[in-house]
Amino acid sequence: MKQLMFDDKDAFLAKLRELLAAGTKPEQIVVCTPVPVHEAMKLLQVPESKLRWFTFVGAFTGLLSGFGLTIYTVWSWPLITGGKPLVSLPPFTIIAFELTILFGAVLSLLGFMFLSRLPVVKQIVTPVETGNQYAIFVEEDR
Amino acid sequence: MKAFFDKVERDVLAGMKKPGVAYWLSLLAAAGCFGIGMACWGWQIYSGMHVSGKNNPVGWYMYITDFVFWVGIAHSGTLISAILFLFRAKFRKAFNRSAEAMTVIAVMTAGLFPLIHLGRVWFFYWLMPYPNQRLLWVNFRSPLVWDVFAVSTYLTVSALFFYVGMLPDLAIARRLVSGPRQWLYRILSLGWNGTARQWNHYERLYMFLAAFATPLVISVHSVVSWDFAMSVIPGWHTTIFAPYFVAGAIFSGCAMVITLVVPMRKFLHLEEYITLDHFEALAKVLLFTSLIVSYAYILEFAMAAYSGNLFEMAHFKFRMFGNFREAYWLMVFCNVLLPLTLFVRKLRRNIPYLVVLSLFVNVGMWLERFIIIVTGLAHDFDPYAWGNPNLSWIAIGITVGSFGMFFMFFLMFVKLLPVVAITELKEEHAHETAHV
Amino acid sequence: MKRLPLLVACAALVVVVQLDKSGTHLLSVLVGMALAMGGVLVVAAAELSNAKWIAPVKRPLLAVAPVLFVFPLLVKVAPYPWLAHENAWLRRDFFVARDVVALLVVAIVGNLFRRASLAESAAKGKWAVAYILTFAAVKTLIAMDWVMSFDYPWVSTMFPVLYMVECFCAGLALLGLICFARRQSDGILADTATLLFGFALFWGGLYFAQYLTIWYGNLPDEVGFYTRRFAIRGGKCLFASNAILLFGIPFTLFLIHRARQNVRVVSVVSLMILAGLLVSRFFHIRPYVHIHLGLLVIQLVIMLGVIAATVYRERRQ
Repeated sequence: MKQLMFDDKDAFLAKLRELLAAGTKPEQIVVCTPVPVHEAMKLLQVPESKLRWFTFVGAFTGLLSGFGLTIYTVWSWPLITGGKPLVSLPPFTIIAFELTILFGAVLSLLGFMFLSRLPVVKQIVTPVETGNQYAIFVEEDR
Repeated sequence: MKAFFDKVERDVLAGMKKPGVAYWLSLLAAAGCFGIGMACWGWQIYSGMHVSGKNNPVGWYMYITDFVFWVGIAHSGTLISAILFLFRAKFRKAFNRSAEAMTVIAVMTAGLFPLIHLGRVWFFYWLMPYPNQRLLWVNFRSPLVWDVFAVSTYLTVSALFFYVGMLPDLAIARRLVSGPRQWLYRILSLGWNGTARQWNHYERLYMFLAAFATPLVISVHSVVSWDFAMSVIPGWHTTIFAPYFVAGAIFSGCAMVITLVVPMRKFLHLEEYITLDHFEALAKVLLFTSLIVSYAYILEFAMAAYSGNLFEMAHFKFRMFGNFREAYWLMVFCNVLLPLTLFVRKLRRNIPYLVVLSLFVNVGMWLERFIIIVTGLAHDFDPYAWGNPNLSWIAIGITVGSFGMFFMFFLMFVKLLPVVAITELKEEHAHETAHV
Repeated sequence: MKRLPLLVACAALVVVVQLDKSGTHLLSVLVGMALAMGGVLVVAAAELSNAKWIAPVKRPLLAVAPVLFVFPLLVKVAPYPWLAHENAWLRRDFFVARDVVALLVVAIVGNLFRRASLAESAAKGKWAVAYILTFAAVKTLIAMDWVMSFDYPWVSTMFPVLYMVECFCAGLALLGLICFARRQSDGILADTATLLFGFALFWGGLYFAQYLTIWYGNLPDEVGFYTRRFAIRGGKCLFASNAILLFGIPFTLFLIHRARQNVRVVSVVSLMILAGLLVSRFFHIRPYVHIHLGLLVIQLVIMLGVIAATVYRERRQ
């Protein structure tokens, strides 16, 4: 594993371009940066994040659960309270709205952890710190 | 650029060094107040709800005031982190971390109050919808249940947002803070090391959480306001409560941010990162929300007079000239008149003035909730049902205890976690220098 | 385009409105007012929040400000039920006087702001604040006087707030249409679409809040507002389409990232918002006003034509 450290972002990007031009495959390169570097992401052909599907599924599940919970429970023991109809949509919309946000947010976090392969146990137990330097790790060809 | 990165880290993490005498004394004072609050609550559970000052007709008194107050404080944290993020307002980066911490702690504090307000607090779990042997379910048509969902969601999502925002900074703390605390940061940072893939998904996640938190903020305080608006008594049953309460929440929350950040900035020597310009921006938000609250006060009164509704007019007359008139006029002074001074630029940039003003605003906003709740209940339709709450030292003790809890947790946050969003400041710096 | 045709059109509008006894003018004038006041409001908000992205489109947006001077002349008493038993506040002469003065004041302040903003003078922030405060007061008065008074003594404290937010949405819709006219497809379009999305959501929340409070309380003197309007044929349809046009469609469409970057989608959504505004005003005044379709068409064409012409003249900076 080749490890290259740079203090300066431009030098880091120049070396990255050089490596890719020399034939190194993007899958062999891992970069660690203190701040997100979008040029590096483009160079390494990082695909657009699929996180939004997790978010959408979570939010949609929340919406269905909200209405499902409220309507099922009110049919299960039909009690008229306050003269309101049994299935009263305005209040149930509020519950569904809150659950949409709750499930959407939680599933987004779980999706993020899954997509980024976090937590990385090795990094927790024996952290390898690159600090404020821009690091390139190249997997050597076997 | 690396020099700046290293400097920011050093300066911010310096705040997490071994604390001095001033810190321990403040923590002791806060913990002391918290202890008083807990003791009062214990006494209330032991002797019964009569010690809380609640009675008929004023069945909601200081605990509900405190609940709405603390939920309100929580809101401006999310405004600063999430809403200002979506508006791409750069000035938020100096204090969004502290504001988010304030949000989480305030929601936790607020969440205690429905429990304190309950008589049989050990049955609090009956508020949650769980399948049970008696086939009972909560009444989803009740605003109190909407509260359960809204506040729980708010606590979860704001904690998530706080944690996610801190993830890269926790990795910095893992690198630079030694000692037993390091294990905390190692675990919490999940082994983050800033790979391109991680950053890619992280930026998306942060944006989605901000996009979720924004309607959540508005809906949570709207739901809290509907605790009152869904009733039929004059002064409570009015359609404007949702935006009025949200604006009031942001107002009181921004004041609390100023109250917290000014001493924090001084004691942790962060003057370079939290500047006068940041405070002026906060002051402008304070002024804007104060104008909205003033508009709501005037509009409610004007509508009552315009409609000719006997009960509405009587209610507003009671608010202004009845038993609680001193509290009412103090509230008007603190919320409407005093913030108007922020039209003067010199005052907006005067930190001691802002601190004093923010204290007055906090008092004024607490009083506003108190006035709405108590005058609404004390003086509704039937004169035979009018009444006053009893003065309660237990309720005052618990209120003091909630402030103690809030400051105690905030002080703990200051020493355990980075108080400024280091990575965001680095990003801003990198962005600015790249365009030179 | 010279100024004379515009002045002639405005004069024609004033004549048509003043001769209109049916109350139809409320629809056209309110929509025009929302566009004109809203356009200036969007720029004022942008100036105060240091939103530099609006600079290229400031001139066309502010071009509607002179149209504000026409509105004081369009004050006409519609067939209000309270005319039969006037009181201290709701009476013909005071009604006309206060509305004319209010609209004149907002026209003056709006145009002074326009001048300060286009000149990039140091005082533009102060004038922005002045305009916003004046707008709030005047729009509240207009909403209460022109529309809410039909149902007197019914009140809803949210009513003027909804009108103010709808004004802002109309201003954003105008911005969207300006982007279309200029074939803008960059950051300005994305920001406009995001703002439209956000304010559609905000409006939806406020609209829901008003309905929920009245529905939940179920008080006979409050519920009448909705039941009177639902009882008329097509009332529920209007109510639903109002919500769909101002919230449903903008919200769901702009969830899709690509839709926010497509100038055609943004302009269609903008038109839907303006249509939604018309539907909303129609829903509000329907039980009391017999809409004269011919007059409505003439007034709308002139009103929107004048606004479109003033903006179109300055579409290129």
